[in-house]
Amino acid sequence: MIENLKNVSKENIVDLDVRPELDAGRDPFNLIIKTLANVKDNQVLHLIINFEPVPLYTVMKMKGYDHTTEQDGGLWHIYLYKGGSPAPAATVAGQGESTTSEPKTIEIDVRGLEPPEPMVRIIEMLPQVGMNTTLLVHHHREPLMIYDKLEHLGFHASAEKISEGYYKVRITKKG
Amino acid sequence: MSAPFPGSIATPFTPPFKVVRLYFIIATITFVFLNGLMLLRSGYISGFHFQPKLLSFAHIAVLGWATMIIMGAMTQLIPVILETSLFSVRMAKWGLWLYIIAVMTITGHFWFFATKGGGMAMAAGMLFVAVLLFVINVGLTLRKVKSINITIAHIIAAIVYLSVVATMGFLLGFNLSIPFMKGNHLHYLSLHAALGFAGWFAMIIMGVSYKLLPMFTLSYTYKTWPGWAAFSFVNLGILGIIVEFLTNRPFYSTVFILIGLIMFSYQVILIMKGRMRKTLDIGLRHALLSYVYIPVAAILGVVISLSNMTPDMRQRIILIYGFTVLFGCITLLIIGMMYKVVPFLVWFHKYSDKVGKEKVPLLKDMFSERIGSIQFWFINIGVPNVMVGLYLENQIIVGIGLTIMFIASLLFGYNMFTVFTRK
Repeated sequence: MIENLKNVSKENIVDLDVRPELDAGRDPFNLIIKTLANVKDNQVLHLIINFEPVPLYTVMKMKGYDHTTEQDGGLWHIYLYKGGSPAPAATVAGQGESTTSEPKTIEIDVRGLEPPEPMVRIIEMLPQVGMNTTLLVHHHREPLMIYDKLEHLGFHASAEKISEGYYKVRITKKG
Repeated sequence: MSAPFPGSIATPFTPPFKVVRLYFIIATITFVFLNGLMLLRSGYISGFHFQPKLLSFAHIAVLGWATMIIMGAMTQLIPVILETSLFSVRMAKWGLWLYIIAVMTITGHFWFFATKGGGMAMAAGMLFVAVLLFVINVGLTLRKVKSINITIAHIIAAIVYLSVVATMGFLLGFNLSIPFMKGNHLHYLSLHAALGFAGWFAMIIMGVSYKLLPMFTLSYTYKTWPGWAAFSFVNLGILGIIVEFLTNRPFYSTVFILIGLIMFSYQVILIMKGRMRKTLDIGLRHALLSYVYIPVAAILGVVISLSNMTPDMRQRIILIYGFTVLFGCITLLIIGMMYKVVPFLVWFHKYSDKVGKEKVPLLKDMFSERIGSIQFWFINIGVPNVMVGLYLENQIIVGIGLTIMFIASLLFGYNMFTVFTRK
């Protein structure tokens, strides 16, 4: 685990400039994932990109990576490193910052509903999700289309596959 | 963990909706136009199949309607199926315009049978380049694939056959302008058509069905061996067609294709049996009906290739066969899939960011399911009606069938118009 980015030595930082990839009209996502596979747990991937890849953070979080972002003019430096628990639901409940209320879980079951009904139901439930609340969604698939929407709205999501056709999705408010 | 959905990872990279939308809108307009044209000139739908107006109808249908929709759908679905982004969105966008111009030019040249001068050869060349752009774009996207599944296997095969069909089409079109082929033009034409139907269309229909049917019906636990058996038998049949073409010896290729397509039907039944979502909406009803026409068309193919008929009867069966493939198998499946895919894509594009902030329409408000149901029955009466009319060589029955189909195409066009213009 990396406590402080400043303490990481130069040889433990892997640089990846994805701008040539973007200029060529290609999606750098696969390149990032491929590079990340070769980055050791005590190393940091240094991503250079010309916009802030907000949706990437969600995917990285799910893979158990934390990030630090620095903006330098039109350039973004993203440092990705192995972080804490990949399941934010557990960490939020355990932090106990607002101990005034008991942690509670709201459940909805959207299995079998036609799209976009599951997404609509989930988003409409969000106002009820406070700092100490987990929204537990029973879903028939991993709702990948909703992750970056949730991220923009200030929520974390993590999905757990129970069986084919059954996923438990936990949604929590970002601290 | 499964690979993340590329449509959500980074919005700058997903194919922009306005590119995909263009394919769907133009193909839908072509479909209505085609039905109107066939009705106005229904007298040409009879007799020998190699005649200008029939060539024109067939190519408007396969190129302007079916293949254009498939190209648009592939642009949207390949990132979903392959979990990677399209090689080039720009290529998909500009390729479409070249393709539209090429299809208009070539079908116009067929219509007036304008073989004098180099116009036909030029049109054929332009079309070849446009199709090649699509093939290259999909091919380079496929290069990113790490493991092959049943749908990807079908898409690869389909793309290979499309290249062959397009090359042959180019040579045939060129030959009409500037004759250079040794032997019978019609001999080559039959291979071009057979590979188009059994190669390009059958592979795409089967491969995409294996992906979308389980997705739409929530079916997860079913055996997949019939799907692979279907893949093997149909490809063996296509190989047989090529052997027959080269050696002039019977290979019973159409029988292999029939067996393959029956295996496909069995696979569809297995998927449907295991489904968790029981309701059959308008889209699925269209698709299931198309799966009924597929073995029917395959049986007609066997009859044409193996039975001893009078030349007159043979011509009739060939017409019915072509019509069944285009309007029974392919059109019904396309309409069904469009009812499933297009309203959702438009909804997602226009309203998904507004959920929770303002009132957004429900998916079922996007088009009239009632008009869709009426259209479903119109097309269900119209298509067999034309088939019977062609068999009896009765122009009045054919005309009635085409009228019903034209009304169906208008209703479908209206529904799509409602979806696309929804505020």
